[in-house]
This record gives sequence, C-alpha cells and structure tokens, in this order.
Amino acid sequence: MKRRDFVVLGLGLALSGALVAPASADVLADIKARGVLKVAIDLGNPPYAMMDAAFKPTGSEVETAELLAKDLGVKIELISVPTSGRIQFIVSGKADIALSTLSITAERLKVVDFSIPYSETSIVVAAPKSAPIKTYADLAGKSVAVTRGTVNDTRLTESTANVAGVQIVRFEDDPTASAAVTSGQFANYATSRPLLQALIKANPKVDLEEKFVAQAYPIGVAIRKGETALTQAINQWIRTNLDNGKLVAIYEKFQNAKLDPKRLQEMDPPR
Amino acid sequence: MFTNFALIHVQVLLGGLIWTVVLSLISFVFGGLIGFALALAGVSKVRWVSRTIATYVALIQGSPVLIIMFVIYFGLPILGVEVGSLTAAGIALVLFSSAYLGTIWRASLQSVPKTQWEGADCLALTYAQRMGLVILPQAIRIATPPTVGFMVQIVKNTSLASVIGVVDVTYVGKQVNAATFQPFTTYLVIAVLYFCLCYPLSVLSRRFERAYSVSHR
Repeated sequence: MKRRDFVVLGLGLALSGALVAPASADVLADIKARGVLKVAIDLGNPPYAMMDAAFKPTGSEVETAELLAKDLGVKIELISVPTSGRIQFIVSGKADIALSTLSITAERLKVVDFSIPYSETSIVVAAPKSAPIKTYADLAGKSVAVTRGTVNDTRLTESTANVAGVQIVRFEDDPTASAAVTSGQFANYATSRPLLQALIKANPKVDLEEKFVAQAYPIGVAIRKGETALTQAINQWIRTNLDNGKLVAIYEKFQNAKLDPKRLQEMDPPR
Repeated sequence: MFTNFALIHVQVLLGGLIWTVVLSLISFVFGGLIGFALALAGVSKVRWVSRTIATYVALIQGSPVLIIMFVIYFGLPILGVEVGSLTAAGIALVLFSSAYLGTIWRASLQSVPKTQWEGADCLALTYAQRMGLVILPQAIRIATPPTVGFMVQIVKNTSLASVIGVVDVTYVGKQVNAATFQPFTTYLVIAVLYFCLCYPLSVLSRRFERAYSVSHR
C-alpha cells in the first residue's frame, strides 16, 4: 500500500467515527405543536397493516394508529417503512412512534421504550402438510425463510443454534419473505400466525400448514427512549381504549380471533 | 380482504415508476455535471487537484450506495440536519454516479492519443479550443458505451431507495405483493416497467456512437 492509500483509508475510518448522540426533546409537545402524528408502519404485513382493493392503507395497526391520532386531536402521517427498519425510524427521529406489530422484547427495550401492550401476535413455524415438524429441533437439515429483525428471526436463530444443518434465510421484509414461500423457493416459513393465515387464504394451492406455535408476544407502541410524557399519554390512552372495548373491536375485526386485555397484562415483560 | 392483481395495481406501479424516473434523472443530470468537472480536474497537471479527486472517487467507489443512503438518511438527522427520503436517496445517487462517471470520462479523455493533445498544442489552441474541438469529440465516442451502461445501472440502482422509504416502483411492488400475494405477476410487471426505461437508453447509445464515429465511416 502506498502512503496515499493510507490517507484514503484513514479518511474513511474518520468519517465512520463521526457520530454523536441525538438531542432529546419533548416529542409529545412537538406532535401537538405540529398537529401531526408521524407513525412508522410496515404496510406489507396483512392483516395488521396492508393495502386494500383501492390501494389505501388498512388493517388493525392502521386503524389503531388512526384512533390514537384522532384522540390526540392531531392528523396522522403514516410513514411506510420496511419490516427491518421499524426501530431505526424511531431512533433516528424520522417518526414519533412505531405502531407496527412490534413485539415487546427485552432486546428491543434496550434501544427504545415501549407502551403497555395493546395487541398480541403468535409466532409460528409453517411447513408442508406431510412434514413431521413439531419443534424447532425437527428443522434439522432444512432451510427456513424468515423476515430479518422480527421476533420470528430472533426466536428461530436462538432455538436452532444447536440444531444441525438448519439454514436460515433472512428477507428484508414480510412481502419478500412471503413471496419466497408462495413461489415455492422455501417449504418452511417462520412467521406470525395472522400473516400465515392470510397467506394460505390467498394461496389455497400452497402446500403449507401451521406446525407449532413458538410463543405469543405482546405488541406495544415503540417510542424513543426518555420520552416519558409521550409514553405515559399513550399508556393512558391504551388503558382507556382497552376498557371501552375499542381496541378489542379493532383487533377482532381484522384478526378473526379474540383479544383478552387481562392476558395482555400478564404477557407484558418486566421493565 | 385480499384482492387479485388488477388494473389499480398497474396504476399504482406506474405512479411509483415516476419516482424511479425522477431519481434517475437527478442522478444523470447532477451526477453528470459533477462527474464532468471531476473528469476535467482528474486530468489536471496540478498534483494536489488530481489527488483530491482520486481520494473522493476512492471513498465513494469503496462504499455501497445503500450504505451511503443509510449514512445520509439516518446519520445526518443525528447531527441535526433534516433530510427527507427522496433528498437522501438523490444525494447518495448523485455522489455515486459522479464518482463513476468522473472515472469513466477521465479514462476516456486519457485514452485520446497523446499526439492529439500535442497536435492541439502545436496549433496554439487555447484550453477551451483544444478540449472542445479536438479532445472531447474523440473522447465522447470512446465514453458512450460505458456511460450508457452505467446509466442503465443507475436506473436499476434507484430501487435501493425503496429501503429508506422512497415510494419508487420497487417499493410499491412490495406493497402490491403484500396485498395480492401474487409475486410472479407483480415482479413480472415491474421487470417489464424497468425494461421499458432501460431499453430506449441502449438504443440511443447505438445511435450516438454511430453519429460520433466520424473516422470509421
């Protein structure tokens, strides 16, 4: 390497080190002043959030976000993000909240704050009807499709760490992972139960069925760390709307399943 | 709740295609202007000028466009600078294309035989006359195929902007796919749309080459 090459290399390294911590402010006051709630949401995740026949956003997460904005007395701006980018949009301040089927986990709580749960999801593993798969261990020697940065990915990776020959293929977002499965590229799919049901309903010919439920997760609103006022306001809003049944009604309208607010409380991990 | 692939989906894909075209044009025009300046400065006899250019090119060519986009989109707000997704994608693609076009064009200038440069000097032509009348016309012919090849690359690389939320044709495609669960139809339509953008560029390139290859007629 010539001396000039070292200079270039040094410049590159210096640039990569030039990062500082973001300044914090009262986001709740910002939202009120701006009159707009900016929500990061992945619109490729039916039946939580997707496009309807007229290509307008719909789904339980969309209606929840709309209700929240209405009750805060502000307009809503949906910022459509890829599945793996939901947390990044919060951390970098591109959005005020992420309301996008985010399971509350200990790992995520290190990076962002979460509201109390308002909904839930079950993560499942699906495979062809004839495949004898009952646990993660039965995936030995198989390849599995999953979406990067989801609890499906985390759980699958942890649980198959000691299983021989599991090939995990991670896709950037749910639509791409689903496309890989419906097109027959992958026989095994680690995903959420509602998404799997939607996928099977839309593609009855695909040889795929739910094999086992890995875990149920509580879903919360992700908020940047330290925004106590906003977190408390949203927590209060969730309590009110679970009690008056509005959030339960939204969930049941899209998920075709019951939502038990008491169970949600029990699922909420310690903070 | 789920819909079949229908006319509305072609319409929204065409809506996304507009942003693909806008991003491509931004990259061509501004990347081209900066790239041209870089090429001229790159053949400069002044050492520090050509070295600065070489460093810039090495930095940009040494990092993936996607990462440059991430740095601008997620990095600048941390430093207190607000950038929208379209702006961030535009800046990243302009940086990217300027570095590559700069290199392609510098190499084209340098591959014009030295005797041509010396001949122009002997005729006492000014810098502008030498470049405009002697060197550039010959360099353009050499530069056309790699330039068009790279422009086609840019059109396709704009799809990376979908990751930071630019609603281009690829981004809309993912949403269409999620709404219809019909990946084959969706991606086939997208492929056709990209082809319709790129093919005319290749045709134009061949015309251009013929028009400039005076000595080969």
